[in-house]
Amino acid sequence: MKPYAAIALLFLPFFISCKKQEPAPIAKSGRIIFTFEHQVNGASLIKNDLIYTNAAGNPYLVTEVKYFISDITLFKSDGSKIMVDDWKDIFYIDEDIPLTKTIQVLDPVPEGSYDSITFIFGISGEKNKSFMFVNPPESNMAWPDVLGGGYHYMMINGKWEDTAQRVQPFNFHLGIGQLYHGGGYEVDSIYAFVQNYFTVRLPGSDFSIRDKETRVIPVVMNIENWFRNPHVFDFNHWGGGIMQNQAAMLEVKENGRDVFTIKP
Amino acid sequence: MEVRPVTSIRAVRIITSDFKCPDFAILLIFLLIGITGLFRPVIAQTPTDTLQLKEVEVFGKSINIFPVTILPARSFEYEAVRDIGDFLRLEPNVSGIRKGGVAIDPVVRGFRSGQLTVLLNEGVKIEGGCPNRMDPVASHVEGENIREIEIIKGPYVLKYGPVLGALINLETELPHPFSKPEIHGEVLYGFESNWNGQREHLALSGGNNKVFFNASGGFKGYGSYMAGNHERYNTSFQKMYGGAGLGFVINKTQQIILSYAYDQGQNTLYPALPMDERLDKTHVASLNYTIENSGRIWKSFALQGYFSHVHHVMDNLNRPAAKTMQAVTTVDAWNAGGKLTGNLKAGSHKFILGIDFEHIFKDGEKKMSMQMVMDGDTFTSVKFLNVWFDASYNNAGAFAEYRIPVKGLDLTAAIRLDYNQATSADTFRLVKDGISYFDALNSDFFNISFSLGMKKQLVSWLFFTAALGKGSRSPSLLERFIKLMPVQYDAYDYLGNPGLKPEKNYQADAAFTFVYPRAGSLSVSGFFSWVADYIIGKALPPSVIKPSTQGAPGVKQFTNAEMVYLTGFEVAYQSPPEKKWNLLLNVAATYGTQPKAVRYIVSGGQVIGEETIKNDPLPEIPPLEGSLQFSYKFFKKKLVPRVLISLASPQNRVSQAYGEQKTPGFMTAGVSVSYTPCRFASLVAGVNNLFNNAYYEHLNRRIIGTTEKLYEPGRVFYFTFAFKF
Repeated sequence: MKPYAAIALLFLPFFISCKKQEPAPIAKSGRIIFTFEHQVNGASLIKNDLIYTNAAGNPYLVTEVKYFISDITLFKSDGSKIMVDDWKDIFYIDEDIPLTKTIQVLDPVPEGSYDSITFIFGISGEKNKSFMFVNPPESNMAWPDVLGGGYHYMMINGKWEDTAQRVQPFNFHLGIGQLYHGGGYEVDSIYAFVQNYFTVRLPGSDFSIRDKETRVIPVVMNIENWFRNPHVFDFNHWGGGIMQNQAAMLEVKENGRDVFTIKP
Repeated sequence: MEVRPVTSIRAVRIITSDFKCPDFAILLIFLLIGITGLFRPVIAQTPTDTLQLKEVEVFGKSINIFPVTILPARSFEYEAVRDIGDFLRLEPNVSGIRKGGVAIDPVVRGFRSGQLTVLLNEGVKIEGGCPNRMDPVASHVEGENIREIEIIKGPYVLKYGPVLGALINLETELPHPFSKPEIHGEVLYGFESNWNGQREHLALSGGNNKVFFNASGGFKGYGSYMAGNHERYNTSFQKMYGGAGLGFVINKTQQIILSYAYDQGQNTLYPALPMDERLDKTHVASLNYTIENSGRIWKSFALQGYFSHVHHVMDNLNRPAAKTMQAVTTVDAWNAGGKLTGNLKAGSHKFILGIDFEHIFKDGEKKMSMQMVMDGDTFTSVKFLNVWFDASYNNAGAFAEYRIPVKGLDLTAAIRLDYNQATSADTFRLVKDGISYFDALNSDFFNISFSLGMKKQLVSWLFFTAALGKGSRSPSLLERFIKLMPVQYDAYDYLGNPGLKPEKNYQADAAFTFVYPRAGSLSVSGFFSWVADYIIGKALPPSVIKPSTQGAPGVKQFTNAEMVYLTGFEVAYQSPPEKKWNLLLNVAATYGTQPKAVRYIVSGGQVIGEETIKNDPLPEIPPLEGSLQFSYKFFKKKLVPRVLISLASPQNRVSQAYGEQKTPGFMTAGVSVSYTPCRFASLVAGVNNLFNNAYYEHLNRRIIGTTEKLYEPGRVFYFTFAFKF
């Protein structure tokens, strides 16, 4: 019997250690959807109609609104945070492409309370690289390499009426800025690039989410705020094109912090 | 069995037979074997005693242990065939992926690209330059220079290199000695309507019993074809090629042959790919050294060395997208290797032992340019992306094959050991959140392959063959290291995976062959294949990596699936070849399944989610297909009309994971007539797609930017004239 007992003892640890492994518990989570609406003075944007006046008194119309947001971050009440980047981290939004105005976040959002949402308006310097988008419409947002490369953060295109009542086109674009030697804008005189992206903290964006719940966060871009607070942006001063004018883009960047709100 | 002379002068080709032959026929066969010069490395002959006879045909039925098909050149040399891949689609369970007018990529029983071993002369390999497979191996060789095509289905024949799904061996025209000084030549001209295509070919061969040579060259120019739906597709191309060979008989037992071939394609348009081929230059050189009758036990030795280089340039400059972004990709691919084989015979035991080696080096770059007009100024941005960067692949193998007849059974067994290693000097790294997607760039494997086969004559008219085997295939340089190119069926950009494991194919084949001297032969065969670690693509999040090709909805990385299985059958009937009338019937089908597949949900041109599909059919598996070919020999074979009917059933068994579309069934018909007024001249004229049907094969790819498939050519009138002396 001794040899059999020895063999049995030899295999005993396997029987003791061979416990059935319990599957890892699935965290309770829900889904989040962001919707984007573009408004002027509290009403939905009406394009191609010279019905708006900005804080500088420039009558204007809008033909296109398109921009990137990225690195959406959800801050939990316990201090932790979740960045939306499991699948996609950069989102393109375009007034003319309704599908882009709804962002279905694929990342599961753990159950709980969240006290704020932030996102980067534009694309961070680390991620904003030329040719990373090769398909339209994103590829149409390319920013020339000589001017910093990567992609526009925003294009708001339209027209404004100047002091001589002439309707002039404007390209209200925000992207990587340039610093020039001297007073001109020759690309050969560029000595530095400036990252003009910024973080937007959505006011009143606290929310809670339960297991398997889908929460919709309606976000509004208040277009009029691009032209005011803290700077009154005057087309008659800056002209229709600002992508090579860092001073103008800095004003736009600083105005942008209160452009986005949560729709009540 | 009957022996008849034919009109062309070639090396004698013997078809072995399992029939009981009259004695005089056996004597004639052995006489021919003894005195003719078939200079394939493993045939035991004495080169200096070779006599070049007029070609004869020995009628009988060859029963191979493994599923082997031999296609002699005369079965296609005068047909309206632009490339070998196109011609191979006529064979049962052989299909082709069409992306343009030429360079159709063969698929055998559902196995494609690297899963097929395609080589020249039993060992010479070419590494294609195009990541999109614009230039599969068979496209680098012109049909006019092919002497014979051998298709071996399954992972059974291991002496030519690692093989997973099937092997296609293209035997080219190599020089051979002549018993007395001779010179021969051939001039060929072919024309096809619809394409307005022309091909010209010139060949010379000659020599004596010590020094011999051959040389050939040609040109092909084809326009775009119109399909039966009256759409004209941009499929034009031009090719030119040339080559030469020189042989020496060193002494009674030793011979050496040197050969070189050049092939160039240019301005080849591919509507189903995002780019077109601007230029593709191929150089292939080889050396074959043989020793025959080397001893009582060691019967022969053969040493083969080769070198090939492909320079490939492709761009999107003809595409609408080039208005905003231009892309030009340049790739250089080198392949060099060699093989040493020895034939051993001890009584009834036959052995083939050998070692081989293959080295591939690949380097390529994609240049992207984008013009932007901003505030009235035009700006240009340029980016360079390495497609491959000093990527190399080495495979060293040793193989052994054993054959023995045992009590009415013909048995064969083979084993192959391979050591495979690959590396890249790429500085690109992709590591995110602790997950390494593209990092360690060295990988090596030790692979074992084996096969067993048997053949049994059950009764005088019935043969049974069975085979079992395991083939192993190490991932290719594309699967390991490619960077962001749309290289697969779908439109995704693909990223290589240096951590891939080899695919393993465990396959079984069985066949019954019925042979009736007066009724013809019928073979019924089936196979089952279980492929472990099957290489597929898995989508990567855009937050990890984004595509670099316009139209790509995202990036997939090559990965190993758990397993897939394929099964299928082939039924073939051939009428007695000695009859004036000839009837060939084929029916074949393959079914492939992936037990667990992932379908990616695409919205707005981008991937937004995924779902699991159970028992998803594999993509690019052709439907049940059949063909009927009937011909009749008038005036002692001087005039032979022929009718060919091809049928394909609808393919409704399609992959959801790959978003594959169903394909309707179709039938096409073609007629031709060949006229050989004398032994110097031949004329073939015919019509393909006689009824101008609008149809596409299931494996034809979609036109870029659309969901529409690339249709096959509509009605084509053709003729080929050849003069030989």
